[in-house]
Amino acid sequence: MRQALIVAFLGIVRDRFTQLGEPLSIRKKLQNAAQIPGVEGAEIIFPDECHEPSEVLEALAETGLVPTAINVNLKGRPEFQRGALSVCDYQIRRMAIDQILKAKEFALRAGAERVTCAPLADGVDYALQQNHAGAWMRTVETLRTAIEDGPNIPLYLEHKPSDPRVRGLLSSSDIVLRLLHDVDRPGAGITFNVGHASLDGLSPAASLAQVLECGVPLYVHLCDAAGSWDWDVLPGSYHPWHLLEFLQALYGSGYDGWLTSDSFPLRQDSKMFSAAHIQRTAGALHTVEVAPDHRPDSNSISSGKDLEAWLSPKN
Amino acid sequence: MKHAIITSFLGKLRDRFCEYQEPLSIQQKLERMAQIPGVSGAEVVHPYEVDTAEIMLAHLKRLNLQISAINVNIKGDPIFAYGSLCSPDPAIRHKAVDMIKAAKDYAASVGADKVTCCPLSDGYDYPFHTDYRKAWNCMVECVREAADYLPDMPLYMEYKPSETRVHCTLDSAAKGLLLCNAVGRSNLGITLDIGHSIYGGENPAEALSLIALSGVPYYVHINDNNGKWDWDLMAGTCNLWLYVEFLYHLKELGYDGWITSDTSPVRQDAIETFAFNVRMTNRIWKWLDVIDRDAIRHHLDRQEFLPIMKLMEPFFFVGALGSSEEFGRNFMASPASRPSLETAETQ
Repeated sequence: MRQALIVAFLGIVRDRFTQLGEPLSIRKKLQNAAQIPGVEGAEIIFPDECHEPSEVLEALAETGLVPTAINVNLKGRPEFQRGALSVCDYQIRRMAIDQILKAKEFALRAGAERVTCAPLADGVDYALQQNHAGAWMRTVETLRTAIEDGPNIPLYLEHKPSDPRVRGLLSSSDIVLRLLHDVDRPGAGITFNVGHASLDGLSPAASLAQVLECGVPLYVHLCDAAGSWDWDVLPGSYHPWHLLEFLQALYGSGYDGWLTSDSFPLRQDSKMFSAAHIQRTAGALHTVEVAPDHRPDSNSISSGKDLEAWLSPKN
Repeated sequence: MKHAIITSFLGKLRDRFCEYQEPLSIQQKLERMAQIPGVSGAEVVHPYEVDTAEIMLAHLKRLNLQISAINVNIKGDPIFAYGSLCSPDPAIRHKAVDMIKAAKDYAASVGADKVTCCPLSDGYDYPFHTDYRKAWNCMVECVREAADYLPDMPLYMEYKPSETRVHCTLDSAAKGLLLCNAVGRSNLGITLDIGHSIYGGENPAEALSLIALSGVPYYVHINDNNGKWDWDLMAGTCNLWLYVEFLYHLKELGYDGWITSDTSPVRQDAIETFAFNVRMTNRIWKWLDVIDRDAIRHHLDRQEFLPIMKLMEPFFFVGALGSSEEFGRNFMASPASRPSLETAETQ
């Protein structure tokens, strides 16, 4: 497994009340990412970070970073505030399709293996706000078009329980799996976000099991959550055992793809924070790789002792 | 009971990913507020929203509005990103206290009767991120200094479990009361935000009772959420029974202060959003006048909730009340104020 960063987090980051960080060009963000030991790939936001495509391509070539995914933003535009893939307004759904197709074209140019998409504006805030069945069917149809048209670049869909909607349409990995089943097209996969799967203390490894059972293409975003909110904190900050369990299950599955940091460096130096993410993840990966007796099917709590080495290596 | 609105919710809003609505001046916000039936108060954010006292007073007089509170913002300046009242840096703490003092001055100049403060940047994100006892003592000292300035102007501290920090220092009603105890000043109060209480795992009515029992003055923000995050939804849209219970206790306590909407109309019409809060709250408030509250007290004393629910049911469900005509005549809003289906269709 190799590690990557969502390089947008190296620039300005914000929440509802606070904005921190420096506005950096995509070139500078990629350069900064390349300086962090262990970072081999970069996930880039489209279109926000791709307004100068040649700059992105040149910076990728200069730094040697692999574009792990083009992350198409279907939430930032005012037109998408009430949804992108699922809304009644065909014109808005068409805009979403066009944005995905352009992201696929850029991914082809950049040599990225996939486009990833978290349709966070799709969902509801209140009861009686939406015809849920209609929204689902519109999403299925919209995604079929986005997958079938344009270049042959797979589209990965990311789950998230909420934010900015009170209830996101793709609220869980299970729902994404169900959606992929209904879309029923090759060229689609899941972006599994460990933080999103850790909310409320849920086990991301348990959710991953369903993904592995379904056999859909998989890409991984890594961070941790605290309580009921997607705080995008460093992996293992609040759920270290769940991190080890997840990585152990992922390692056991034979996954040899990317682990892309989705940790959010609010109030921290972004480079140091990202380096901490990479270093911590590398340590955790090493622990599960060398744990001899802890197999995914071992069902043995005693084998967890091997994993304690990660938390207390000197004992 | 009087209705107010936090004026900042009438202008531009944002979350981590998106921006919503249009930026408006304080004059425009107040003019929008004046269009909402039943609203007579404005909670204004200091120093970012305010005009000079003279201009503000002129707006208020022209629009027949009052100030419910001056809300001092000690989180927006990037210098406060790592904390304000709890910051290890005395210069930052000093700046935060100075901002509260300035808000008190402004409150006095516009005829407000309180300053409210929610120290949202005070807290921590990670284990080993802060020295909890030192941080607490810093907050106590800062709040004491702020309370002692212009002592006739009360300072209400608002608690919130999280945001912008993963864990806020002032995170519960109990913590708010501990702060009041530690500061030891009679001009301190608590701003109880129903949404903060709900997603912090409290029952708002119980939190209100705890505050009232302590004798600390209180002020109320209304909204709702799904128990996981401070979504600032319209009042009663997720937790209607909790809201009814809260208003029952507020009425029992003889509260005649402001009920201030802290509701965020990110994707819907702001005026309709706040009008809903007013209608819904007034309707429940009237139910609580009509209902047999002696019977409720009787049953509460015996921990008998089912008879109370039975008393309440007719106010919610048409069939339980009797004829739908009677229900409609007494409790439904006029046709003009019924919600439009347009929102549901476009959403």
